[in-house]
Amino acid sequence: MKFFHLLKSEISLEAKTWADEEIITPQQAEKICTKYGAHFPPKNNNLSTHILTILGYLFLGLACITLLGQNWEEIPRTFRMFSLIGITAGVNFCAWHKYKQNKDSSAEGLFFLGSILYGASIMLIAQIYHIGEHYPDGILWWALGILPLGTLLKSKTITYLTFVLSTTWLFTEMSLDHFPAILPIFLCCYFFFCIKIKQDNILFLATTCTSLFWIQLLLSYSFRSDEAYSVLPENFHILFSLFIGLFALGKYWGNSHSTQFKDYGKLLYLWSIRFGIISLLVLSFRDPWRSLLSEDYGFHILIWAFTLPILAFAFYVSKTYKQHSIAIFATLWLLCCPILLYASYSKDLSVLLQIIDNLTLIGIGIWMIHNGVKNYISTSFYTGLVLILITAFLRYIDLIGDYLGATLLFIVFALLLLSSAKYWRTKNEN
Amino acid sequence: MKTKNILLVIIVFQMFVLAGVFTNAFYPLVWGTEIKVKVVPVDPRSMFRGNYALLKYPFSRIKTSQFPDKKLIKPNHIVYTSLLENAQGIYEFRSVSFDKPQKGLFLKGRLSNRSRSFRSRDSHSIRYGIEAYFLPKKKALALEDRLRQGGIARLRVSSSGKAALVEVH
Repeated sequence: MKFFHLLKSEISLEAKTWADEEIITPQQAEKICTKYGAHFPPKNNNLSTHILTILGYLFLGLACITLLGQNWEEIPRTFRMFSLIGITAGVNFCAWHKYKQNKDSSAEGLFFLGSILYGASIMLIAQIYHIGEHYPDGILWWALGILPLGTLLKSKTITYLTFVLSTTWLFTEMSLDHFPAILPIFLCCYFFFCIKIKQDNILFLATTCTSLFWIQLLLSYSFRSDEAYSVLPENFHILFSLFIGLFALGKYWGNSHSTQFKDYGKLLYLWSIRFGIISLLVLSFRDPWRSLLSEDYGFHILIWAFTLPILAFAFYVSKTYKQHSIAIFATLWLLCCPILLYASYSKDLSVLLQIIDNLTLIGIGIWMIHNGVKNYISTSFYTGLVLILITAFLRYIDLIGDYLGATLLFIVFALLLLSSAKYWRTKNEN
Repeated sequence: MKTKNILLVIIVFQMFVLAGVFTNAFYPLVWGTEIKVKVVPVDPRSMFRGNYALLKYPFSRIKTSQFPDKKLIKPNHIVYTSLLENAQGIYEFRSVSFDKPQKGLFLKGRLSNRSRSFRSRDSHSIRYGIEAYFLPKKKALALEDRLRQGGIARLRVSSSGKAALVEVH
């Protein structure tokens, strides 16, 4: 899977250079750009002006908040409150007026400032009346109040502000041992924005990560045995299953006709692979397996209810698009999951799982190198190479069993690499 | 046209939220019963709201044995703390319950959290929403010095148990 799809402005600029140098015709340049969802000719947008304006408004809003933080007592509190509410309303109506005049950019900037002032007003009221109870509620009302603005104005800036606020609310709620139950409303809005309003890879990825975190939190909150949040062993299972699902979804969308879904698919694919590699590297040691095997899992049905449909989807994608890597990961997880859930801890079993993990890492490395060479993807090639070297290094400093065991494992690694090389050489010659 | 109208609705919604936050903070100050309670300050800073003195009341921490039903002790659970006026006109802790008292003056609070062994603790913190007293930094520090030996907070308490902090001296 190639990732230069994600570099749209670069594609656009490069195509323009080729067209200017008469390497290709403008029509061909346009066709190339259309294929990757890029604009041709490149959009001559006033991005720098827009960013500077937004940053200016941001600092104006921050100045307002820090001024309030000073608790400016010289001004009577009623005057302070009504003047700030008045300014908030004034700025918002001004923005609305600009929007009515079809001055979208000015309207967006003013609505952004209005959004910050709206939050500042909530804080000011809390300050004036010494409201000390559950302060995340203030952040929630702030985020809720500006949530529709981003979508209606098609504004990435306001949507980013809402995202930052809702995430802050998530963590503050969590820190006070409350559960952020209505977070999915925000997440749905962000996904809607990314899919229906404007493509935004960063927001899409951030929303996906937050969604995964929220699911984990839900699990932890619902099934905790103690009163405080804690990471349950079930969290690991659900998370791993979800990432296999995202990996499959990435491939599924990667084959979509829509450029947007193709891009999101590539992002999911790329990041789930990264997560998978990091997790497998952590699990290449024995201690994590030992603790996972020693855990007393209480929610088997829940784990299977999550895992089986996800794996079914993974197998479906694997079969439909002939993506064997997905089937391999899904099968490995299907084998590992019951062992972790039902087998009691034994030293041999943890060593066996550790060996399987290390062999999987080498397998992924081989597959990535092959994939990189076959499809001319340098990142895949180098990631595979580095992965194999890291695995070898880790096993060198942390031996599996004694020296003899480590020697055997290195021989198996070597056999795997050499036989793969021979297999593809023969295949290429044929 | 439709978007313009929705934007207008959002602006109005924001104003309603601000009015709601204001009313929620303001109504005990107007309709509440005024009481005086003992108070001890601590000094933190809120990232969002500036400097304030964090106040603790004698009834901010209640012994587990004084709760009517230990099984109901859960983080963030709502409790009602009944207060009784002493000879000096200061209101003091009388009892705590999980059900709203039918009579007498009481404060509505929430059990605090952040403990792994929540139920096994000897005492529990309760937040009443009157723990933050916002002041400029210098004044907050001066208040802290002045009240080192303890002070008196003037509160207004509504019939639902919602309290608002009027003054600390």
